[in-house]
Amino acid sequence: MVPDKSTPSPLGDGNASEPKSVQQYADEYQRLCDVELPPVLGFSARLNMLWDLADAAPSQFDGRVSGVMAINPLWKESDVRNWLQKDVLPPPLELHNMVKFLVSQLPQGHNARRWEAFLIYGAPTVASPVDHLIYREDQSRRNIASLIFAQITDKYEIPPSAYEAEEAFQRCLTLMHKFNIYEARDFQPGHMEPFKNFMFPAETG
Amino acid sequence: MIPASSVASDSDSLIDVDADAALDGYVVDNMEGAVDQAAFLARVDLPVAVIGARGTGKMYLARVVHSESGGSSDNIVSVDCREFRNKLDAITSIARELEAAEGKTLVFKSPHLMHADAQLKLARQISSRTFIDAGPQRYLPRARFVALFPDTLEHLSADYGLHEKLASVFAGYPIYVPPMRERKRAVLRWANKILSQEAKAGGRVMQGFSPDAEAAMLAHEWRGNITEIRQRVLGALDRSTGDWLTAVDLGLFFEEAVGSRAPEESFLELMDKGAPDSTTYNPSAIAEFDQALGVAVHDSLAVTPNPLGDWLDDELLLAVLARYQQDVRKAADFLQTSTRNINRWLPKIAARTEERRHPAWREPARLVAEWVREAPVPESPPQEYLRAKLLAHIEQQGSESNIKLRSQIMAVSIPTYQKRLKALLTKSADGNPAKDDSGAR
Repeated sequence: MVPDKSTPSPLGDGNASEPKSVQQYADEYQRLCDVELPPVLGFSARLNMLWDLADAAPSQFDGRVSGVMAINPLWKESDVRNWLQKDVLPPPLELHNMVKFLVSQLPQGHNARRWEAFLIYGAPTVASPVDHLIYREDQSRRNIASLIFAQITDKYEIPPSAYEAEEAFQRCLTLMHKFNIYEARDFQPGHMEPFKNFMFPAETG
Repeated sequence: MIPASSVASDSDSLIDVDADAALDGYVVDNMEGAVDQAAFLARVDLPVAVIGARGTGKMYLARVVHSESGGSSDNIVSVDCREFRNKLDAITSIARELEAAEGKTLVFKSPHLMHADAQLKLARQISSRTFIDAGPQRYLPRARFVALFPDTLEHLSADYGLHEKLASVFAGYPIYVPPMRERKRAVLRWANKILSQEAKAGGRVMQGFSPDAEAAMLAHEWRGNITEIRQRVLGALDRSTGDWLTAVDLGLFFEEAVGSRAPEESFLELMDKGAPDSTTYNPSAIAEFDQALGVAVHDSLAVTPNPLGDWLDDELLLAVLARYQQDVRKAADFLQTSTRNINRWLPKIAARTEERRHPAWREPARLVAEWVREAPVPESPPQEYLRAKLLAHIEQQGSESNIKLRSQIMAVSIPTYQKRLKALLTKSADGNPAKDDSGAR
């Protein structure tokens, strides 16, 4: 269906003056289209990282290609080598199934679709699926989160019966990540209110 | 150790932590998550790219990857790809390092400066984890691979000779080290840390930075990043005899800095802007040096005619010796001169130490050191390259001054000055001016 040119573009850009003709769109399409897909930089490296995390095949120094082939005998060696070493994307269904299998080997909470997108496009186009893990696993940051937790419950007099501690703690870590709080001194007075609201939504609601 | 009471911004913190403990180790600065990412990547077998402007601490992150993977301090090997003279040199040197890499972390500095064939061979070997020479297939020894790049892989690949295959090998999950100007809160931490370390090493008891020094540091752009902080703190310690370092000691002038600072943006405006604009002006060390040299020449023409030619040669040699940890043989190779010459020059350089502490010379001296630290091995003698820059400034600004004054600033006799000027003019007439960045970014 041809869009109604009398209505402004939903993107609100500056193209409202002269509507383009179909021929102009066709020309533009021909001008922009690529004859082959641009290279997917880092795809093999990311795929190998996922295989490392899943721990389902030998390391790259110990015959990963043959180890991977053993998991699905229908895969050809040349294809597997291309995927793991030459940044060649597997056919979409193959990639989907491989990622689904690998993510099922990871602890709960990983999203296979997000991993799939990350493998293809990498960060920062797709937010890294391990980003939150990197942050939360750091002990010193957990100590800071504990201190923030204590400060907020004390200042706003929030009793333990009003919250589920683990959930509030995880929310605190999430917000620390969003606000780039890596050290105690990064936490400013202005952070108190948003942290309280996010960690204890029932209190604000 | 700096007393807790003098630790900058500590009083701002809502959470009471021991200031001394906070200054222990460089992990006090997490580089906006880059250190976390490095620690995570140490647990998987992924070639790691560390991307950051000059002086941002890329090598520090490589060490984090190495130590977090359980590597000992003597098992991290820096492969400085700026040092390879040609393709063969690069390929044979890398082959040697790969053969002996078991249990090590190989850190490739600026691999985009290698010959394209050497880059391709390295890429193939890392991606397949095998040696690709003739003979039966062999796996590489178990090693970690880290590469340090001054810019994004896409940018280096498009404009600066990074082979696409090598870019791809390291493009899995690159670590971006933000420049200091994007994380001003970390400036005082680094400055305090460096001051405490260097004061201790020099047997000095320092109280810290004066309030004007702190304000000036927060306002300064820090284009040379952590390296610049270190250079300024070292220079200030050298110049100051007191136990507090001031803005003047650091060579930072607060009022000027504040006057040139962009108006502060609100939190929401910053959020709305999203990622920093990649077109932000970020001059190379040599471009900054050129500017500072122009200021020094102006000062010499207007106030006191200092022998900048001598000082420039001195700083260059000192910087090259620092780059090679005082190895005279390597310094001579870089300068394309003999070790005998270097040994002959050193006493004169030492004798001029005091006069080189002139305030107008601080910035050029610092920036020469920064340029030398990052530059690839030059094709032509770097002395000539820098002297040509000085001569161009003298001629540009002092064309109406008498030749005696100009030759004094160049620190040469009048006939030598005339000879060099003639050579410069001939080069310009041939349309072959000195290469602007000499390969350094």
